[in-house]
Amino acid sequence: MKTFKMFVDFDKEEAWLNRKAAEGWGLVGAGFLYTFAPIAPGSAVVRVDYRPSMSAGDFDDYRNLFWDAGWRHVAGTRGSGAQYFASVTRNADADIFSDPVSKAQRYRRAMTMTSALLLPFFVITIALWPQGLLSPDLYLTPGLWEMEGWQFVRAFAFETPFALLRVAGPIFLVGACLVFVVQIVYQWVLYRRALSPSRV
Amino acid sequence: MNRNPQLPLTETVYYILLALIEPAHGYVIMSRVEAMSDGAVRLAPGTLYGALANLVKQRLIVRVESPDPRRKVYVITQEGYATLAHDTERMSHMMRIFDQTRGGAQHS
Repeated sequence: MKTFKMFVDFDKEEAWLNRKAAEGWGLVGAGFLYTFAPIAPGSAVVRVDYRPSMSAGDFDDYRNLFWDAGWRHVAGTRGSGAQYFASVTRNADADIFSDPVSKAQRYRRAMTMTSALLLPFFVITIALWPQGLLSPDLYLTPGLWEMEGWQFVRAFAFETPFALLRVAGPIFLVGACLVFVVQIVYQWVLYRRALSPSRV
Repeated sequence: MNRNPQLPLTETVYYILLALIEPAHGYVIMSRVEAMSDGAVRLAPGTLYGALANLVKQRLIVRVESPDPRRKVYVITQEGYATLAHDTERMSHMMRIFDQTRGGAQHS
C-alpha cells in the first residue's frame, strides 16, 4: 500500500506510522510516498530519526548501532535526512532516544537542512529582485494597450500564456522561499517545545 | 584554577567516557554503561550516536582501528581522561563536603 502524506512534526509522523502499524501496516519505504506491507497488527513500534547526509561507511555504522540495539532500519537512504526504524516489540514507549534533549535535536538538524535548502532560492531571489522580479512587463506585444475591441482581445489572449510563463519563475522562487521560511519557523517552534515538554 | 567549561559532565557523557577507557563500539558501550550504572542508565541508539559524534568533535574520544569495518570503535583521549578525572574530583569534593556538613549537623 502506498500513501502520500507530508509531516514536519516528527512526533505526529511517528504517531501516524504507529497507528498504521496497529492496523497491521508496517512501514517498508519512505520517500515521496510512504510504502506499507502487511504485518501482525500492533507487533512493531516505528521511530523517526533525522540525520544529515552520511558517507556509505557512516551509514553502515549508523544502521548497525541501531540494529545491535534491536532497531531495524526500514526506510531512508544515506541522503534522505529522515531515517525510519522499527522494533519488534509491543512496548509502545520503546524509543530510539533516551533523553528529551537528544530527542529534540532531531528538529534542529532538520531545521539546519531546510535552511541549507532555502539559501540558494533566497540568493537567486535577492539577486533578481532589482531587475523587477515581481513586476516584469508581462505583455510584450508592441502597441497592445493601444489596441481596441476584437483586435485587443485576440492579441491579449495570444500573449497571456507567454505572460504566465514569464511570471511562473518568479512565483516559484518567491513561493519556495516562503514555504521554506514557514517550515524553518515551525521546526524551531517544535524544537523549543521538545526541549521543554512541560509547557505543551 | 580555571575551570573546564565542559564540566560538569552529564551522567550520560560521564558513563560513556568511563566505558571508553577500553576501546569499544556502540553496542558494547551501551552494555557497559548499563552494567556500570546497575541498569539505571540505558542509552538508546539515537542518543548514543549523537553523543559519540559530539565527543569526537570535543576531542574527548577518538576513533580507532576496528576489527569490524561496519562498526566504528572509539577510545577515550588523554584530554577525555583528564576531563573525566576532573569531574570525578569535583564530585568527590561534593561528597566530602556533604559528609562534613551532615557530620556537623549531627553534633549540634
